[in-house]
Amino acid sequence: MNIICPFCDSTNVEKIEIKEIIKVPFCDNVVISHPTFRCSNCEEEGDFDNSLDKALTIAIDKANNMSALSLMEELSHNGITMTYLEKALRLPFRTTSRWKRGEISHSALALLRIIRVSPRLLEVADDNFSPEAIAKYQISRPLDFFEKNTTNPWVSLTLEQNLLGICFTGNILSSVPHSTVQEVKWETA
Amino acid sequence: MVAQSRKPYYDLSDLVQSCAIRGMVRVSKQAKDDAKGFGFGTETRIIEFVSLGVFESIEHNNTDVLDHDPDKGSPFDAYIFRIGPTKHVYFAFYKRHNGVWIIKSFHLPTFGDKAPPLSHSPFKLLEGMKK
Repeated sequence: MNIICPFCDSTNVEKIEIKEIIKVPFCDNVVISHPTFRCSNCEEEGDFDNSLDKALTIAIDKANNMSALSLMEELSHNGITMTYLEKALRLPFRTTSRWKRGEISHSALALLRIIRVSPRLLEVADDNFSPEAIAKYQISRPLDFFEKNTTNPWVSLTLEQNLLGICFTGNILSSVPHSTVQEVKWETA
Repeated sequence: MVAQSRKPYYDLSDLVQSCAIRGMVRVSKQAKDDAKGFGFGTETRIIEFVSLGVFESIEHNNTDVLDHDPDKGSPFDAYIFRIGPTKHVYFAFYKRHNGVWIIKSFHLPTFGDKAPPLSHSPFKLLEGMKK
């Protein structure tokens, strides 16, 4: 059966193999080789007979799902065990075991990526999203920057007539910041 | 060029409803490539998104006629809608004589107040501080 180009009605259509680079967050790019139709008349390309896009979608999903394992290994390496993650997020225990076996949903993968960007969110979840934990998380972001890029980081708080002031001070490091956690001194006025 | 005051030629909801019928909506290669910048990896994913009919802050941008074959002279509609907190999409489509809808554009607006400023690179400063 001749394939008809949906863009120009030409039957001058060929099936070609193209390579596509899929960007997988926190992992190396994945090259997926997949078939597609190409019209020699109008030069449009695509799934002209609705048979090819499904396989491409599965391949993209597979490439993304494969990144879950390395994300979990990275979190574990940084001291966040999967048991703690399950506890903090109120997930059924052994959920992450299924993720490791490749049984991971889109939403679970998105959650892992968010945790990878900001592991401290787990502390907020672990504290049942209490206002105190949320406030601590929010204030931690600039503090993280200071911890990594300054020596003697210092935070001072002022409270005057219901006006809260926060001041971060520190000596900026000239070299690449090291990852050693430094003690942060808090001072309230 | 047609004046921007011209009203849309098509009913947008017709396009949205057609997305439910396999093969009735197609996305041009250029639009597919551009849509990757918004995280749409496949044609199916773009059509699924359009089928939701959820276009935030949508505004009719333009209605004009195609100037190239095979559908030269056919009218197309262009809209701009918001996607996410700050980005906007220029979205243009038309209907072929055989009833198939073609999404011909899906990219950032190139001019106007919805277009991203060319100099907008707020993280350059931070990158410099890392070095």
